[in-house]
Amino acid sequence: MRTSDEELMARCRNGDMSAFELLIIRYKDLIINYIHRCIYDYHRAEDLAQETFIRVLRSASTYEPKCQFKNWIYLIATNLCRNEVRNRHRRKTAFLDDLVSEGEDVNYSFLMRDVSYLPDELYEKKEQQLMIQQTLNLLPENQRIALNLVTYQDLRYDEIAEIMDCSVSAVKSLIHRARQKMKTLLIEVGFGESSNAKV
Amino acid sequence: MLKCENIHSEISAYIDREMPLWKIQLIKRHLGQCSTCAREVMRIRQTDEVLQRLDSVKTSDDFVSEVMRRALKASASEKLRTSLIRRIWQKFESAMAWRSNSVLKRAPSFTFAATFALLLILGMFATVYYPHGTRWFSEDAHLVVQSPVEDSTLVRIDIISASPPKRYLSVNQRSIPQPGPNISDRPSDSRRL
Repeated sequence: MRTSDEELMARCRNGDMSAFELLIIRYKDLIINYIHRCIYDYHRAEDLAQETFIRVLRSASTYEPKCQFKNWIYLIATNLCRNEVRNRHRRKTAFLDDLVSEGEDVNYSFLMRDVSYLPDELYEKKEQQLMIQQTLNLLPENQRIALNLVTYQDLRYDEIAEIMDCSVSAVKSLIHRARQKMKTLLIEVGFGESSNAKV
Repeated sequence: MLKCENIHSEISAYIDREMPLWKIQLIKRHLGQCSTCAREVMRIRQTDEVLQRLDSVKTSDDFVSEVMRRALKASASEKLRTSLIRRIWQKFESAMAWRSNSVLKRAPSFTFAATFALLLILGMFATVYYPHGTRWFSEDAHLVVQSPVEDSTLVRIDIISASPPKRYLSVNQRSIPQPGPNISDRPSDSRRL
């Protein structure tokens, strides 16, 4: 029988590091993908994912089992992403993707390893992904987070409301506006209804 | 009957099925009749499909080991911090001779510092409460004792002996009352005792 996250957290609070390791294994991919889609920098996303788990361990004593662990860990990751974006704006740092040359592009290293694509298909796929990510980055922060949580993390609206500390109707409105805006932006860059061939 | 503008704001919730079943059925029925709304739903679904094309990334191979290394380091520093506080407390305990008998041998400088600090605090306390050099046992204390005593505070002592009670003891001699009639009744009792 699968041990629940909340039980693992209770064991973790008592200093059981194997329970903590199990939690890392369960959530590492979800968290890194979530952070990566928020800040779009693989190395920084890995750092922040590590920091998320360290914070989970540090705050184990204050964790209340009535709150779902999944929502709690996403809340920590969301706060870290917000801080990162704010610090970037303060430091006026560009996205890593703008700085690295094509050969060193770390964000697509996984794609490059996939041998099922022909070189031109690979190039097109990479271009598409870059365009989608850049379009996502144009969304306001709250809309991007809400859309990220519903589209890629498959969370319900009430869970997102708990993570974002707002009402369910506010989440509904954020997601609606984010999708409307994404629809317009994607059509502008060549996706969507006007270019069905590409879709 | 639902209107198109009401449907538009509900499309996202409809796609995510974040509404009651009866409402989903209502919207579905409307979409069957209204091509504009049906097209809008299709566009939003397409947008979602495009977003889903974004590949996911994977953590590096040493991610778990790296987090565990950092976690152990963090918990070790936490332990060190708590043990440092405990060590300071033990030092204090030993200096204050709560544990050890030979305080001066163990931590003479600490004992000296602690005693000095204690005296300093006492001195400050005395200065604050007696700033003009007033004597600690002032004359005010006598004044309190010599203040007129109410009749109610008088103490009557019956001297139980063969002779009847003769006197009352009081701090203030002026306020001694004359023996009342009830007292005059007592001699017989006293004699009896």
